[in-house]
Amino acid sequence: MQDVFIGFTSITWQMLLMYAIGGVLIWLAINKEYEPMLLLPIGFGAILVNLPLSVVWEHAGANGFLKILYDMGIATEIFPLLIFIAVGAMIDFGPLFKNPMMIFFGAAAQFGIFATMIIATLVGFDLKEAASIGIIGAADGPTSIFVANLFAPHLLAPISVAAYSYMSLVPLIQPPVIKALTTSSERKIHMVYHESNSPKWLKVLFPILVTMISGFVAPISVPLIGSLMFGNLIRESGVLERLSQTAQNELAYLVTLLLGITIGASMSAENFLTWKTFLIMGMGLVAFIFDTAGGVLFAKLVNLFLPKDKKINPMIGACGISAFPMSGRIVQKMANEEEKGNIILMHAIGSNVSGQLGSVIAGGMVLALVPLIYIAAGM
Amino acid sequence: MDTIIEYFKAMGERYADGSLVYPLGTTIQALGVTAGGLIGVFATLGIFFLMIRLANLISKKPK
Repeated sequence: MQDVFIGFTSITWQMLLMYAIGGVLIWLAINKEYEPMLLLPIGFGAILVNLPLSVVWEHAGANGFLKILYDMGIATEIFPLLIFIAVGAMIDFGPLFKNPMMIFFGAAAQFGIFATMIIATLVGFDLKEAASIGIIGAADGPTSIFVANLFAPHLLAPISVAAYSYMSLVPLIQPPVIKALTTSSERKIHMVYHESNSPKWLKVLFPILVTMISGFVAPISVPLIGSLMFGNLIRESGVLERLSQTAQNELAYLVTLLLGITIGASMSAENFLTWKTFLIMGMGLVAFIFDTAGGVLFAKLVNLFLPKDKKINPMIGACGISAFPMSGRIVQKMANEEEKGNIILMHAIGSNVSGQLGSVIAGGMVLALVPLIYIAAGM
Repeated sequence: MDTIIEYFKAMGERYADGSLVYPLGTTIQALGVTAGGLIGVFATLGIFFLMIRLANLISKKPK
């Protein structure tokens, strides 16, 4: 008789708490429209895996369908790489080619990754865990998943949830940080935009050369940068329009759907309800704040060396994060609010696509440098 | 370069009980990754910058 009611008798308060967390994620997705394509599947996955006996994960010695998806798509890192092909097909590097100076903001805004990694070591995480937590600052879900899966798979669930949650909260996180670090007159700086067309051959050659150079600098970053640039090459080749559209739509939607529910399924109560999760959520926010601050302060530093008529609106620096095109739009909105008619969108988008490159390169650097120090440490 | 790497490796050394030989050793390692990482990101994106500038220069048509 007890077996009949096993579903009820095996409920724990931890499970109930996870249902609530899953419910909050679904609520955020539906009511607030915060990254709904990811938060909704993640929320539902969290509920599924915490149901009694967790049949979707593993039961009676056999893998459940979500465990199979996890082993196939996350453990092998296939899902994040497929997402990168889709993202690459969506990126237009045109605004960057017209104003290549913007590329450096894509580097400066990765500061949050490293600052957070240092903070994480101070609160007791080891180097690999700290690096995985810092990567939340890449503002780039697939890179976060890729690095966390290699360095700290036991922290994958909270890191993924933090990465996607804060990406969706960029419109709330960035404006106060930007306002705190800039004056009103700085936010009113106008930037001249020169309309010119980049040569077609540059658009085709760029993804190939970026992949090769990244491969020489940090070979371990090739899966990430290679899949991103493959998608971009499909887009820019001009002869694979259907493949490009498929990557941008069907591939992106299908993999996002599976990725979301699989990440959610890794949120079992025993893995998720730990003090580390709360620390990771807090440090994820720190990472986004430091990213924004790093970009803005770098722009202010560059302004010290520029003539008065060529100053950069320092808000552009905040767009160097990978949250594309959300960050660029926010900065344009802020510029317009500060002074009606101040158009800096194309510069902002140039900086924003640089953030896509910068985050992947930073991920590659972390992947290359941490094992260099870590392996021989004998830990 | 090898000396620098050896120094940061040493910072991760631990006693048998798991405690760090050097206080804040892991944080010092993280500082090393930060320095290397930021230099690497700026340098790599700097190469891309030069690549784009060069391409734009080459493609500029004479007036």
